[in-house]
Amino acid sequence: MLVRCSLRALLALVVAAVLTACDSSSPSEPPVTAKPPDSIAIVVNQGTFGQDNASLTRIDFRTGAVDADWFAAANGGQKLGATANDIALKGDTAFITVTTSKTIEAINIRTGKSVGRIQLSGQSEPWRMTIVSPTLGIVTTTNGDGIALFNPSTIVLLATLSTGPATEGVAVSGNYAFVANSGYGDLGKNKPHAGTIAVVNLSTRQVERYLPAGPNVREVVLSSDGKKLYAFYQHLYSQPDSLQGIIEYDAQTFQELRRWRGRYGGSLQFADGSLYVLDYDPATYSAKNILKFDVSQSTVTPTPIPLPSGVTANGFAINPIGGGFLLFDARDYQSNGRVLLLTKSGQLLREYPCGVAPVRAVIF
Amino acid sequence: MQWWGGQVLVLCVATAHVLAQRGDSVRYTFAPVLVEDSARAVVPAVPTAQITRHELERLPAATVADAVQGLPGVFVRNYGGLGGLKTISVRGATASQTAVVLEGIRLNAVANGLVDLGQLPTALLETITIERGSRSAVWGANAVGGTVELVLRQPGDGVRTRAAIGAFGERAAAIESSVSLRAHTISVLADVQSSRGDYPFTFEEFGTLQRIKRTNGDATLGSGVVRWQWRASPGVFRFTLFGRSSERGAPGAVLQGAIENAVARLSETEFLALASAHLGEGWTIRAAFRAFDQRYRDSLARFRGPNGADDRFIARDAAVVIEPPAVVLWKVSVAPKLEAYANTLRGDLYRFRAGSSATRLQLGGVIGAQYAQRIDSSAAVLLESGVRGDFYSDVPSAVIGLLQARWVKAHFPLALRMSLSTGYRPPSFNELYYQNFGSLDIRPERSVSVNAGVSYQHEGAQLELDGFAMWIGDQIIAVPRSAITWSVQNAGRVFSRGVEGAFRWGKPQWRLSAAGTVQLVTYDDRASFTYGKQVLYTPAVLGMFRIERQIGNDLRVLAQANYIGTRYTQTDNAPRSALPPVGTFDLSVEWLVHIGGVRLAATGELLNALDAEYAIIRNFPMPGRMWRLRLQVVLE
Repeated sequence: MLVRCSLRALLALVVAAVLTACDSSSPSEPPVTAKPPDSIAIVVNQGTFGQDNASLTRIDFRTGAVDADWFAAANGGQKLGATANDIALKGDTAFITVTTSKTIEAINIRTGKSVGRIQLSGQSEPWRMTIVSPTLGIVTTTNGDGIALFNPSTIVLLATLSTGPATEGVAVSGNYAFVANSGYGDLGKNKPHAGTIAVVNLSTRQVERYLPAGPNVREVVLSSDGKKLYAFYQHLYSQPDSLQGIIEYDAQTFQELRRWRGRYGGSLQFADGSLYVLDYDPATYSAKNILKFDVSQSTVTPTPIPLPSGVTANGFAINPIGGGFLLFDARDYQSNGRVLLLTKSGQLLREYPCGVAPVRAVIF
Repeated sequence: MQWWGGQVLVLCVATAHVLAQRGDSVRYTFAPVLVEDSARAVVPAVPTAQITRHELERLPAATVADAVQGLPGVFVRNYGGLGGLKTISVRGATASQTAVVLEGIRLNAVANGLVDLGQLPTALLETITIERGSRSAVWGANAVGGTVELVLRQPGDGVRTRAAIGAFGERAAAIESSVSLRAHTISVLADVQSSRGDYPFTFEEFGTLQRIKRTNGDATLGSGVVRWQWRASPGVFRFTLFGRSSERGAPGAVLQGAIENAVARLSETEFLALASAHLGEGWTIRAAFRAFDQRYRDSLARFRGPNGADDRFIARDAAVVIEPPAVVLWKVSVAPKLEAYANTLRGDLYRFRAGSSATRLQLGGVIGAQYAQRIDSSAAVLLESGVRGDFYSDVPSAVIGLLQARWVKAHFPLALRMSLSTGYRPPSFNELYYQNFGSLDIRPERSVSVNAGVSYQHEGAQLELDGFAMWIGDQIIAVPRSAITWSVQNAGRVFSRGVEGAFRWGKPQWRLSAAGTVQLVTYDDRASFTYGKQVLYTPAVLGMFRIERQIGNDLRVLAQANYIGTRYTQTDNAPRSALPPVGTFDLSVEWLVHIGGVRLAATGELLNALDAEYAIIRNFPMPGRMWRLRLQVVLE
């Protein structure tokens, strides 16, 4: 009885840690071969713990057509798996990390049909992902405390590396991969390298150094030119009064440049010279703004972009087509969510239904 | 004791005890109204279903969870297998909103408010009684949706043994005996059950149907009772020691690519010592001490450390209950009761206010009143009321009440009943202290319930029909506290309403039982998008039909069908979140033989005889067809 509860809480803790996003794109990520702008979004819906109901939603912004459970529809009713968390593109193929099922699912972005699957084993649960080149993709393997390298062209696992406890976000600049070792907050805060960013030399496949970050560092993202690295740390759940933080590093020298503290809710992203992050509101247990940091300025004061009320923001995506945002509303995390199409100033343009707990998307 | 017409006997508990006990139980409730006619029917003030010892022996039920599924308003949330968690939901309430009482002592764990009914074997029980509706004024905390009252078996003279084998490595044995010496009686009961739990099930993984076996589903349960009773006129003193221990796998959901908690283990040990003194002049004093230790291990939970998870939960509870005799004031019988409880919990995963444990002290007081008014020579009205106050050391206190009215008619054996009651449930320690989950700001849940019903009996047939409505406010639910963690809040409102029916008919050669429930349990927060949606895992339709046939003196056949309607696993009731209705069919054949002073009963059981593939809880597969052979030997 009690343990069921404790276990559920643990699972909640672990899997709930999925609920923020980091931008896994990198300067070396290949362009999408589909002719832009197709005005298509493929949204990853996490699903509910233990329900095996992760899903993909396809939205056609031109026609307004929505296929809320696109993967199942395109694959004869087959389920995607349990707890999906990230999506990345390589040409006409999208790769989705399905964490609890320990799979990286590859689909054709035109048809939605599965074109391959990498099944990880042991404790390796794929979390965040980035496509480095046509022959190299990197995924963090969270409980496996490391990363897995795979070939996106052949859809074959290449290697696994240990980098630190509870790996979450990953980004690549040049020959280096930056991996966030969160330690799952309180659970692994005393483990070696918890709260650091592992710098992995992709040629030698060795960790060259660990960058001190902050308690429960979960997301990393690069500037558009790949010269700056930004990391988001959540702080410890046991210290709810503590502020979260964002750190700016020089991605070449690995030196910390600046640090901001505040009530941040994660989903760290970079676009058009600015950094974006959710503004966490403890009163409503959600985010009421997206904060925009113009990091080109020496002194940065974040600009709030107000979000519609009544939204449980589980993440957002920057819309590369026409600007603005896609805001992912998880509602109560136990029902189908919504994707809200917002303007750059946060005005609601339209909403679309989706699956349970939308969290990430690719837009092309 | 008040008689009139020689037909209707209102048991106001011997010169009007409003609050009475029944038999050896420490049941504390309003007295039943006994309508004395050819059927000698008992018409309780609230809808009540009782399974007696004799029924328990006939039913293909190894644990309380097996026995109660099918009763009106009852839904057992069964995670599958002998060791799987099994909790009860009455009228759509949560398991923690249903009080489970053993010999008058609440078993609901202070940690999470739950009781695993799969851990309580029927072999130890004399009766299982389920009262539906909010009964907090009688039972105290947790009795929001209903109450499960368990009374331990009172063995007769002689020795009775039972043994069973069954599918998937099931083994069971039980023994009971009683010895009387002058004013002293000592009784012993013991029960052991085990199962490999490796039942097969069909699972679709990445588009391919597979037939696989449940792993880590093994369980071994042992339990026993020792009871000493001393009748020292004018008092009766009893001491009861109930103990149980279990070691089992705790497998989680079966998911594509993963089986959660594939090696997780759960060990439990529990002792309940109960002493009672029924003194002259109507005084009753009870004292209880309970020790409950639980250990959870999962070597694969490496995120918890290099050796995985190894969590311990240690609870200690004590209770003292004093019931002075009732008094009669102006034809109104008034009975008080005082209770004191202390609960302590230690565990690895809590963040207590201070130190390494949390303690809850509770002082409760009840005053009940009953008034009976004869209408004519064959009809009477009974009015009952009760007020209860519970004062807690760590959470807000509660004052609750109960109003009941019954109209009974003797010549035409019909009874009507109505009740209005309030209920509450204090936050569990998990909801207060569990790290990253609990909140110190949580308030008790509150409820208001109404019930109206009719009971009719005629020539061996009994029909009961009840309608109910229940509003639960401040329901404690888990909500996302941020994008990365969940926490509890008093954010839920639930409205439950429905109709329940039960029918029984018995002749020497035939017995029929049927029960049905149609209920709507919905979210009731008008501001929420879930308003009007069916609450998770609350089937709208429940049904049971049972037929028993006695063939000659030595053969008995029992067939039972159960139906559980659609359950939703998403709060928006999305169609794909619906779990399909479940229908199961069980068959039992018993052969009785008397050889000298030995009575033998051999029973063959076929459970889920039609081999239905189903899950009560999503991704927790239930066993398919199972067989079981039982042999009972009674030395008289």
